[in-house]
Amino acid sequence: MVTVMRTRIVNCQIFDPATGGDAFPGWVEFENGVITAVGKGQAPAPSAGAEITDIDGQGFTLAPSFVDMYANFCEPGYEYRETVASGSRAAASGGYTAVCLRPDTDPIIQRSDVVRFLLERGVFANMVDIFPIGALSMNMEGQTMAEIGEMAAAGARLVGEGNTFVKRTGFLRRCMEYAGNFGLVVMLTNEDPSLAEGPCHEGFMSTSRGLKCTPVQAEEIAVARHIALAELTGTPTHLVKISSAAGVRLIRDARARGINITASVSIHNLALNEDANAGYDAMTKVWPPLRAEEDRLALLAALEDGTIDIVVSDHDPHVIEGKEVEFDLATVGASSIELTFGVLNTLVERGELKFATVIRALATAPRKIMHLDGGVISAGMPADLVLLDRKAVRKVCGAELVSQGVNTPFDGTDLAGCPVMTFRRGRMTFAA
Amino acid sequence: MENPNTLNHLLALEGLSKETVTSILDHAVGFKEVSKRRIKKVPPLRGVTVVLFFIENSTRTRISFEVAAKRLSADTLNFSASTSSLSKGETLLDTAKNLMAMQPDIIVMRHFAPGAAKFLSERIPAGIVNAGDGPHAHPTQALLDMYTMRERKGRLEGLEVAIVGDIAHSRVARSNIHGLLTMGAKVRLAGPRTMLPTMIDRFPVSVHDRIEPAIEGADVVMMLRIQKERMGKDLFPSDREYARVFGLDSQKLKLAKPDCLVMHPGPMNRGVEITPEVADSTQSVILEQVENGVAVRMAVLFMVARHLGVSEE
Repeated sequence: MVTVMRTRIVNCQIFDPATGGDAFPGWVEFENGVITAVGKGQAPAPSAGAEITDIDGQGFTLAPSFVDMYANFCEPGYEYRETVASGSRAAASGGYTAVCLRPDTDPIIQRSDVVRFLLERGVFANMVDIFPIGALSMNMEGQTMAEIGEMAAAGARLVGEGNTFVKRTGFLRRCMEYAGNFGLVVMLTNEDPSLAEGPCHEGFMSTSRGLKCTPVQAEEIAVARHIALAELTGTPTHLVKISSAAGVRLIRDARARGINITASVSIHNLALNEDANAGYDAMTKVWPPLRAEEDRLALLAALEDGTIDIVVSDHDPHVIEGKEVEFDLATVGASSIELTFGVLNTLVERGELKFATVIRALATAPRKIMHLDGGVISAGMPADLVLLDRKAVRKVCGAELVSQGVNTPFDGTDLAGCPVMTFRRGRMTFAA
Repeated sequence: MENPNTLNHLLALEGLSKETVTSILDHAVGFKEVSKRRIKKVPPLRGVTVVLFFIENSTRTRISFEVAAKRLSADTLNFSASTSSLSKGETLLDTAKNLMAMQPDIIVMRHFAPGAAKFLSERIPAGIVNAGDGPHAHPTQALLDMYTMRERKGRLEGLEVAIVGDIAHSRVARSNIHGLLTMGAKVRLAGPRTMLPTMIDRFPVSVHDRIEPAIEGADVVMMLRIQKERMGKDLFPSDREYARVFGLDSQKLKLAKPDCLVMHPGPMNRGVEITPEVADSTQSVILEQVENGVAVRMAVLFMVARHLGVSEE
C-alpha cells in the first residue's frame, strides 16, 4: 500500500474569490502542490492509508496567495539593498507566491541572459515565482529596442521601462507593437517628465512647505498617451501606479470604450496623501507623489469598481544612508512587500475598502492579467494559498522588516491584519 | 504649554503663537538699544557657543547673526559649505554630529533644502535657529520685517501689507505670510502667475495678477528679490519687462497710502524689482530692516539660550 502525504488546513474561514460570496468555515486538502479537496465545516477523519498533516486554521482566513506585479529586488547590481533571496523571503512573509521585478537593475533586464539569471535566482531562493519585467529599450534610453523576443523566449511575460518615461511616442508605439507579437503585456508608468519638478504633489502642502512638486496633469498627459497607444497597437497595456483622480477618469473612459488596458495603484497612494510629506520625513518620499485626499478617495473608488485592477507593493528597499538625509536629497521608494496586506486590511477595518476587493486586487486580478493559474480555491488548482489573520494589530518597525530595506513610511504605525502562513504549490514558505 | 518667553528652536513662524511673536519683538526692542551704545555688548550669552552653519551662501544674514551673537557675548564659530567637509561628501547629519562634539549650544543654520533645519532639530541636542531652508522659511527675516513695521506704524493688527514678486521660490514671503496673519495683519500677494505657487489662495490672503491692485491703499509694500538666473527661461522673459510690469517705481507707489513703507529683504536688483528712486526715498526702510535684524536675532538667540538654561538674566 502506498502512503499518500497530504496536508490539510482545517477549522479556517475559506475565502474563495470564485464563489464571490463571504468566507465560509471549512477545510482545504492538498497534495503534490495541487488542491485535492475543499470542504465546508468540520474536516472528516482521514481515510485509512493516508498520512495527513492537519494545520489548525482556527480564527484565520484562507485565501489564494498574492501576486505582486511591481517590485524591486535590486539584483543584479544593488545587492546591498535587496537580493532575490531576501526579497523573496520578505514577499513570502507578505503572503506572496509570485513577484514581478522592475528592469532597472545593473545590468538592466534587457537581454535573455539577465532574464534567465533572475529566473534561476528565483528557483534557488525557492520562495516565490519570479517574473522579470524586460526593458523595452537598450539601457532604457528610449533609442534602440531591447531584444524583446529573446527575453520572451527566456521566460519573460512582461515588458516595460520601470519608472522611466519613454520620451519618443513613436518609438514607444513600435515597442508596443513588437511586444504584442510575443503575447507580452506592456507595463508603463505615467509621468510626463517635462511637467515634473519634484517628488511631491503640487498642491497646498507643497506650497506651504516649499517642496518641489509635480502636478497631476503630468500623469494625466502620460495616461492619455498610453491609452491612445494601447488603442493604436492593440497590445495589452498595464498602466502602473496610477495616483490621481484625473488618471482614473481617463482609464474608466477608455475601458468603457473597450480598450485593452489594465491598471494598478501602489499601497502608498491608497493609504497616504500629501499630508504625509508635511514633516519632511524622507521615509515618505515615494513615487508617484502622494497626492490630495480627493485623489486617494478616487483611487479607492476605482479599485472597488474595477477601473483599477490591482494593487502593487511598489517594494523599493533602500539603505538607511539614503533616507537619513535632507528630504530633497533622499532616495525615492519604500520597502513594502511584507506590509501590503496589513496596509490594505487596515483600510478594510476603517471601512474604506471591501475585503473581497483586497483579495481580488492582490490575488485574482494579477493572475488574470498575467494568465496565471490559480486565484481560486478548488480541487485541481495550484495550492498557492495564504492564511490571514484579519484582526491582529501589530506596530510596524522598519528596522525589523524581513526585507533588507528598513525604509517604510508606516514605521511606528499600527496595521490591522497580517499573513500567518504562506503556501506555494503546497510547500509552506512562511509561518509567523 | 508654550512659554512665550523662550524658544526651544526657531524653525518657522508657522504654528508660533501671537504671544511668542510679540515676546520676540518686545525683547528685540531692548536689544536694539545695545547697538547704539559705545560698548556694544551685553553679557547674557557669556560662555554660550553659537555655530553659524551655512550650507548655502549668505553674507548679510550670516553677518547679522554673528554681530547679534557677539553683542550678547556669545562665542561664534563659522562653518560654511565651501570650506566644509560637506563638499567632500559627508552627510549633513555627520557634519552636524561632528559639530556637536565641540559642544555648541545653538546652531544657526542656512540650507538649500526645505525642512533641513527641522531635520537637524530632531536629531541633535542643540537649539536650532533656521536662517533659511530653501523656499520654505526664513523666520528671522519675517520677524525683523514685522519689527520694522511695528516700530514705524505702532501696530501690526490691521496693517495692509503687499508682498510682490517671486512668491513661489520665496522663503521670505512664506514666513511673512504666516507671521503677519498670526499678528492680525492683512496680506496681499502679487506677481506673475509663473511665480505664484499652486493654491496660495488657500491662505487667507488676497492674490493679484498685477502689482497695482495689490499696493493700492497699502500700508507696507515689500518687494521680493528677482533671481536673475530665472530670467529668460520659463518664469519671465526679461528684466526690462519685469521692471515695467511688476517693478515698483514712484508712479505706482502713489497708489499706496502716502506714508506707505517700502521694504526689501535684500540684496536688491536696482532697476529691476525696485527703482533706485524708490529704494532711496524717505518711504524706504530697507536699511532700518538691516539694523533691526541684529536686534531681532539677538532676541531669538537669547530666547533659545534661555530655553536651554544657558543664558544669564
